[in-house]
Amino acid sequence: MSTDELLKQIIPLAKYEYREGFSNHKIVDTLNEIERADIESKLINLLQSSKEVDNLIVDTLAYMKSKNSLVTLKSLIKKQLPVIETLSIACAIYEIDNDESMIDLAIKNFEKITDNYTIMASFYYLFKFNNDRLDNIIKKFLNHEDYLVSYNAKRFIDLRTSQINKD
Amino acid sequence: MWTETATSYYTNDPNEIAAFFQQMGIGQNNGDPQDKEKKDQKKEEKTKDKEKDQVPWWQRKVGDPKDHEITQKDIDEFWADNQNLAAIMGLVGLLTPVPGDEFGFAFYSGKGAKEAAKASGMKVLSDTKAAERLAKLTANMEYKYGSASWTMWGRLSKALANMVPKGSEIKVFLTEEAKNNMQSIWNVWERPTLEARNVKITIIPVK
Repeated sequence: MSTDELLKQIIPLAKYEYREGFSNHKIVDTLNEIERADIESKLINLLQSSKEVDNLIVDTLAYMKSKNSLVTLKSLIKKQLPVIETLSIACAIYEIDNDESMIDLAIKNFEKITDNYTIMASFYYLFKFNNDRLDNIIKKFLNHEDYLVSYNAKRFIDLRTSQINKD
Repeated sequence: MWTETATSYYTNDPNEIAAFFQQMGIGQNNGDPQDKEKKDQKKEEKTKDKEKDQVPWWQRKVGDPKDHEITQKDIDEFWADNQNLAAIMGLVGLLTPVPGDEFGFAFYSGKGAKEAAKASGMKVLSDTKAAERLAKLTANMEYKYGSASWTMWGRLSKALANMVPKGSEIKVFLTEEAKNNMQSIWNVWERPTLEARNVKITIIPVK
C-alpha cells in the first residue's frame, strides 16, 4: 500500500461517520521504518498547510513521539486557537519532549474554559499528561453538578488508579 | 407640449420628457439592460433570502456555499425542534419493546459497527430524522474531538440514550478500538447516560 493510501487510513476525513470511535494506533504500530518516516513527514506537512488544527494529526504525532514535529507544534501553540486544540498541542509537546512549561500552559488554558462540554472533553488531554497537578484538576470535578462532567472526571481518575495498581 | 412633425414628436419640456421615459419604463437607469438585470438579480436574491428565513435549514437546497452557512439561530432551532420525542426518533416505533425486554434500537461505535447493528435488524441513531438533520447541519464542519460538531453529535446521542427506559436492556455494537477509545461518543456521552438510567448494556463485539 502506498503511504498516501496509508495516510488516508491514519487520518480519515473529519466526519462523524469516519472519526467516531476511530483510533489509528493499530495502523501506526504496523508501519515499517520507511513508511513511518514518510507518514511522519506527511503529517507535519498537513499540520503546516491546514487552516484549522486537526487534533487527530497532533495526537498521532504525539503517539509516534515525533521529534521532527516539535518545531511546527511549538510554532502552532503560539497561535490563537480553540482551547481544546491548544491543549492537544501542549500535551503532544509534553509527551514528545517532556517540556514542563506545557503543564502551566495547559492549566492556564483550561482555566479559560467556561462550558461544561469543553471541560469534559479537556479531561482527556489533562489525563494524558500523567501529572499530579493536572490529575488534581480533574479530581475537582468529581462532584460536579453536571452528571456527565462528574462521570467523565471519575472515568479518568479510575483509569489512573487502575494504571497505578497495575504498576 | 408635444409638437407633431412629419416623422416624429418633439418637446423641450423636461417634465414631459421625464414623464415619457417613465411611461416607457426606461427612465432612472431602467433603460440600461444590464442595470435591469442587476436589479432583477437583487430582487431574486431578496426573495431567496426571505424564503430561506421561512424554510427550516434542513429543508434548504444545498448547492450554493451560502446554503451551508450555519447560524446560531439554526443550531437553536435544531435543539428546540428535537426536544420533541417524535422528532428525535423520527421513525415510528423505534423504541417499541420487542420480546425479551430488549428494544429494536442499538447503539454503536467504531468502523463497521453501524453496519453490524443494522445487519442484525436493529435501528440506529442514523435512522432518525434528527441525525439526518444534524448531518446536514454539520456537513461543512470538521468532526474532531472536542469540536462543535463532536459536541452536537454527543448531545444528540445523549438525548437518545435518555429515551431508553430506565432499567431496560440495550445492545451496543462496538469495535475493540472504540471500546477503549477515551474520546468516543459512546464512552463520553452514551454510556454514562445509560448507566445513570440503570440500563443493562450488552456489548456485541464487532471485528
